[in-house]
Amino acid sequence: MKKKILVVDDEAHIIKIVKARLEANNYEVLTAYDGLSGIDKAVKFKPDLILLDLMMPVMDGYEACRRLKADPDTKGIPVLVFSATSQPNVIEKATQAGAADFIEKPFDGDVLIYEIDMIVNRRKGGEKEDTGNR
Amino acid sequence: MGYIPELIDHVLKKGMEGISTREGGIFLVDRDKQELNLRLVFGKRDEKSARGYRLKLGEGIAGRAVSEDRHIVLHEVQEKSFFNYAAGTGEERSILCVPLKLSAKLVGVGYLSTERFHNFAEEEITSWTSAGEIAAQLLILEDIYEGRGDNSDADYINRTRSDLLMLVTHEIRAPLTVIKEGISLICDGVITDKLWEGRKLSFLEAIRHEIDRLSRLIQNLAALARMDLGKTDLIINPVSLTALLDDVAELMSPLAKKRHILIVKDVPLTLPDVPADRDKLMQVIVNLLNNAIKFTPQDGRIIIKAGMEQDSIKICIEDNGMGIQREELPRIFNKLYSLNTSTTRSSDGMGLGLYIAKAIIDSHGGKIWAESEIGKGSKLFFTLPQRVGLLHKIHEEENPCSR
Repeated sequence: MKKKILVVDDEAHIIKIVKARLEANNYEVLTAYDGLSGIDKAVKFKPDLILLDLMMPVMDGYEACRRLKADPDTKGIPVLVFSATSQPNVIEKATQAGAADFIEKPFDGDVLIYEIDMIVNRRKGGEKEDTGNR
Repeated sequence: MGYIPELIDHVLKKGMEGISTREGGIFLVDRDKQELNLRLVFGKRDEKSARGYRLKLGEGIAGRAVSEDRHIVLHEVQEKSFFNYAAGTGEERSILCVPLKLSAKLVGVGYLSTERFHNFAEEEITSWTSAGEIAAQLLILEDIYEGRGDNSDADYINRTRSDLLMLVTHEIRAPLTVIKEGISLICDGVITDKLWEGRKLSFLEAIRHEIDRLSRLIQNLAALARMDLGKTDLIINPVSLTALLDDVAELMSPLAKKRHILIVKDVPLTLPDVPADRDKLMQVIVNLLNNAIKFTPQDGRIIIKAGMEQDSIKICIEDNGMGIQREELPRIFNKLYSLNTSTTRSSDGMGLGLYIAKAIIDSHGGKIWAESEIGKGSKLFFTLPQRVGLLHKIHEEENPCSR
């Protein structure tokens, strides 16, 4: 069965290209446009990984990540933060909020997939995932 | 920082346009001493003796404007002693004191006095407040460069500067992400089979949209840089607003369509030409429309209206978006205002658009303002004076439609 990735970003174009990259690599993709609806979808669909933007309306990524990690239902889902921010302590803050790792925008598509594969497979006890086009 | 005094002078002059001022000045708050320090005076008073004058917070009208956090207008002033220094030699008839804020923090007071009775209009108060706030910011900036001033202000300026840099970085990185990834998805053969054909075009459209967004950002940054240097080099030609509004509406329609927003034009064909800098005017309308699109929900509508009003052409861009809080209205054209709100989120463009639009309209001798009702939408207006004499003088030597 395909692994599910929830992509949370307020920018529709970013969602569009990330979704394409993930689908080309054999992932199933769910999407949300702000932190709050991201949490809703995480609770409802239990994705294998959440790719989370930081600067979003309604609820930002830090807060969303903290809430996901505080909820027993979602705390086990790894969160990979990706952001265009240049705040100096962003990685530290993201890690403190419970993120597994951080990727800076703009990113290299292959690197993104590599990171996601690593995290998803690590979680599933290191089993090798078919990553299609990589 | 040699240009700061000139810049302050320029800003304050703009801020009191139309008011026949006797005297004016800027006090800055000294938090340590709980005092107001008169930092800048212009007009009839001897500036040297006045600079450095101090008032306790709450003392005089200037002090009260701070302690009560509201603007104060006095008419028919007679008593010299009543209002203490700010401003008083006994020759004033009307006095205006406005509290100055940066990022919601009270930093000073701006005052104006007139020799004759003057009924300060809401617009004049707003315009003097914005000018005073910019001047206060510049004074604080100057203090920092010269090693004066309290640290919280230094922090504030540093924060503003790094906020701006961070915002710009974000606004470059986000579109670059789409451009870079979109292109590698197409070029690296990630998208190969037939199933993906349709999506290829939509990636290209997304890339085009993000490139447009970068171009708008760069235009706005360039305009900001020019304004910071105090240069207003207008190339005035007769401009047909009917044609210009058509062009801009067409330019913005892909963005609007994407969000299912309808742009309706209600512009008479008989609208006379107006003397203006076409490119700059176009930027104003693009910025206003961009702003309207940004705050209008999907399936919303935007109405562009234009018409003559006395000797001016009045343009209104109306949206049915979320609206703006009443108390925020006078501040939306303020650079700092945009900065501080857009750090929480600007989804398209960096929020300098309205500030730049105001500067351009000001330089044309026009006015710009906003009306809004929460939940119902906003109307942004601007006027351009239709000086017929000027129009006749400028013959169409250059192509007025040159871009």
